[in-house]
Amino acid sequence: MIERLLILLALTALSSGAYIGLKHLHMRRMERITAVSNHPTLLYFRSDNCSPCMTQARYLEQVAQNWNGRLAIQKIDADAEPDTAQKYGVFTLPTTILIDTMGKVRQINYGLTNVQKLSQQLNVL
Amino acid sequence: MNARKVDQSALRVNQAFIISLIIIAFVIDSVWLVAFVGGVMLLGTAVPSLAFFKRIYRHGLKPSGLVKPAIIADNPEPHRFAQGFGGVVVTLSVLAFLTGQAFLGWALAGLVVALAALNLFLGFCAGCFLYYQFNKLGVPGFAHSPISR
Repeated sequence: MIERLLILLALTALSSGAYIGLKHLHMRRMERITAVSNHPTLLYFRSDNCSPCMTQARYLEQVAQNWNGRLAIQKIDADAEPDTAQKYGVFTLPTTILIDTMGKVRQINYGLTNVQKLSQQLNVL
Repeated sequence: MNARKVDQSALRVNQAFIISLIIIAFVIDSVWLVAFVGGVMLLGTAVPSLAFFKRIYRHGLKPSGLVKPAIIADNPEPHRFAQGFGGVVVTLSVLAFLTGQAFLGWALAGLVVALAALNLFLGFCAGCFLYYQFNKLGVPGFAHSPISR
């Protein structure tokens, strides 16, 4: 049993490390492809073939209202612009990417992300 | 307004139970616990109202306020297909155990854990993705397209 627990711990550590490492690499790669802006930017990757994207769109409307013009939201259809999606390394939808005013990627959210989490992330930009 | 809805919290609780129980099964080396999880998944696919882990959510976790509902516009069928697919893989895992192939058995069970974790933590449902691919190809039985505006 101890051996199995150790195998489990090792696999968990490996998976977590791989996820953190890949996410870090993903963000580092995007540092080279974003520009300086007056406001924080939220890139929202969506498609018509993604059911949770409707809910994500509603969440983003609420976030936009809360930020009242101080946030630029760019919607990108991953089906219509596959090259753009590939450039940003998008592999699941919806994906939201938060960029600060210096053009640095500060957060990537894979999958549906609620208003509360987005607001918390935006507040630290 | 589209009336098709899915409670994401119910799905997450289901995935959390599947992941946790298979991990516990691995630690205590219990094929019967794996078989139990597979049985729950297959029964829940065949008769959604009998989905045991979702019933724990509906009758325990939700009313107690421990887990809040997260209802979104979505088709339930792809998620049901994903669960059924997972149930089949778990069943194959049990068959592997019963034929003395423990490594293969745990590898298949581990695959189900990995896919459920991908869904739970990253929001990517591999089974749903497959369902919608079959729908695009016009495969009979995969009738629902993704909900869109």
